[in-house]
Amino acid sequence: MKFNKSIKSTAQRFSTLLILLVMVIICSLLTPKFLTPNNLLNILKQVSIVTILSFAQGMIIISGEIDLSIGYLAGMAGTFSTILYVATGNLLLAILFGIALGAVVGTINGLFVAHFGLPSFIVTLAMQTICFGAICLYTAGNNIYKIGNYKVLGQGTVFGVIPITVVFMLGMCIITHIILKYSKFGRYIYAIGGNKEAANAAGIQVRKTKWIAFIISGVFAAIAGMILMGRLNAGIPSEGSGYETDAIMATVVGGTSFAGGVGTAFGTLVGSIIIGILNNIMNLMGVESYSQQIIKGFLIILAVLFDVYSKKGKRKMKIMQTVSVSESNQSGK
Amino acid sequence: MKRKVFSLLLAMTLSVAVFAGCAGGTADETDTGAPDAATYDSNDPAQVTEATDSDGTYEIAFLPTDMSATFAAWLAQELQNTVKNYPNMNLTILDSKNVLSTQLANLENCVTQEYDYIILHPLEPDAEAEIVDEYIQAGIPILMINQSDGGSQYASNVDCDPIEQGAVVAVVAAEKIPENGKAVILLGPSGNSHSIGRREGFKQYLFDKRPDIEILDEQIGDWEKSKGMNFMEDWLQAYDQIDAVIAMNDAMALGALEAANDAGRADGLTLYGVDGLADAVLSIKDGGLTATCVQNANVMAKTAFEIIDKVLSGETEFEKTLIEGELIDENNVDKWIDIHTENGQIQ
Repeated sequence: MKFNKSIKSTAQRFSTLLILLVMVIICSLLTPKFLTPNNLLNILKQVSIVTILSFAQGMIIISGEIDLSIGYLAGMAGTFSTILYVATGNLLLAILFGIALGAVVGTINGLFVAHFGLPSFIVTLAMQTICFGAICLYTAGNNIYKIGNYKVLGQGTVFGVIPITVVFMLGMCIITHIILKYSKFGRYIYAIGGNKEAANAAGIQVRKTKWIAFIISGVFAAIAGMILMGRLNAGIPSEGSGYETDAIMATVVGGTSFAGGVGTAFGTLVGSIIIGILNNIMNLMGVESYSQQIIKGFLIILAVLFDVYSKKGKRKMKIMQTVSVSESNQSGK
Repeated sequence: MKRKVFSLLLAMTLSVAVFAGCAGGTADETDTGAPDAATYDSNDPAQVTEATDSDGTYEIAFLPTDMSATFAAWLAQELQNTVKNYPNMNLTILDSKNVLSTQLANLENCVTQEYDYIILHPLEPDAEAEIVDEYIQAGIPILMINQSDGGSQYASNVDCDPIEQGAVVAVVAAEKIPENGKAVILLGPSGNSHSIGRREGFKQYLFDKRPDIEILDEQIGDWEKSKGMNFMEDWLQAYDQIDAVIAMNDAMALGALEAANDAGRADGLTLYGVDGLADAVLSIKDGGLTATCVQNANVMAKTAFEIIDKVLSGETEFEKTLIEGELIDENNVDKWIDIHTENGQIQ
């Protein structure tokens, strides 16, 4: 109960949500086309892939590291998965293969970052080119077409209306929430990101925890990649690039501290939707391309500014309370 | 102990990598695998002599932009096929991996190793023209392929005019888009010369000739399918009527098509792109994409080697040629499916 309060104070949740609400109100005043069920589903559909990647990135950032490999990993795992599907026609096998690839890459990231202590920025940056090189070596630069029913992963609907990507996104949100809030591992990564030395002193296995975080991140990235390829109805390795920075942006707009130790799945979801709404409303309004980029940049800075100031002072206490020594000892050993 | 084993393993891996790299760097490398730029160490005398000690054969280097890009890979393949017709020539491929500094380093190494001819697939023709001219004057002829010559005086050039690429498709669009039709436009990266040229082609042969067509919106989709898809999803919400998608490449048009299909609004919609690679051709066959323009890498490679042959035999110093962009639509799509099946893009 105490633990619950400390991870996310209601005020912290509220600030990002408040920005979202204000945006929705403003946007619906700007054009009647915004607040329609179709358009809202449209926005959710568009942000779903980057949001799943943001859950991965969020978890890593909370632990005090960064994972720049997720974009290219998504491109690689997604494309390899489509290749296997085209070859075998077995969707389940293709999905499991994609997930396995994600886990392998995550394990390698974790090996170098957690075990050998190399900076995650460099390791995962290097992993970008490894992932991209690996898939291009295999495909010789060609994309994969005619992927048949694989596209269900990205274009299917549930009950005929709700895009399947949105269902995936919400599912991953719940999984992330459960991991962060209710698992021992979740509490550990907050503790490590908040204060590594203290976490270590408290008996938390820092290396092992970080390693697991990278494996989860890899798996999430692979899942996002497979959904992306389904949505594109093709296996296109290069389409994954750039998602890593979009994911960082969504995570931070969603209230995750870049310094580590702070952040929630729910906040990340809201942050990602905020950015999605921004893109959507500017297209609905027909804002010119270059102006869009400037407006988007400034509004994102504003959103983060508002978020940071609205919860200033409440931040410090949270981190250290997150995993009190007694709690981790109780449940840990 | 653990650490020792690890460092031993690491050392072994590194040395294997070095050997593999050297093997890949020999001048008779012909497979499509992308040899590493680092392979070529200009300080290594064994390698410097490599390009010249051959028995009267001409050593030719090809420096593609990025072997992971479908067109560059296709072009490389066509060049490799064409070089077989010239028994006195040998082709080596050095990938630039879409990084200008890598391409410049490769160029420098090729000069150091005294290649007889360099085919440059420039990443930034305007930035590279000057150095290309310097190398040519120092005695190594260079041909710039698939891009403009960037103002280079002495380089040979084989390119496909981007304005024409747009124009070829624009002519079809001008016929097919209905009276007072409404169009959306997807552009390539800001400042990209091919995107600007193609857009100009569409302006001259579509929008200037059909002033009745209304442009609803025009956005930068960075050549990416997913961005074309996102923009189209938003446009379908914003506009009740969209008759045509004009995209500066096929990937963006195909993304827009996915969105239109998803929203059930693809009926009566025509979509135009440029590139004409496998994805586009298959889509035209399925009745998706309406028309595209292809830069025929096969013709490009053949033209390039005709020029190279003339230059190496002393017939001319350089030659600049524009090849024609070819229209692909429902009428000739089968021919292009065959071509792309033959070159391995369609399996």
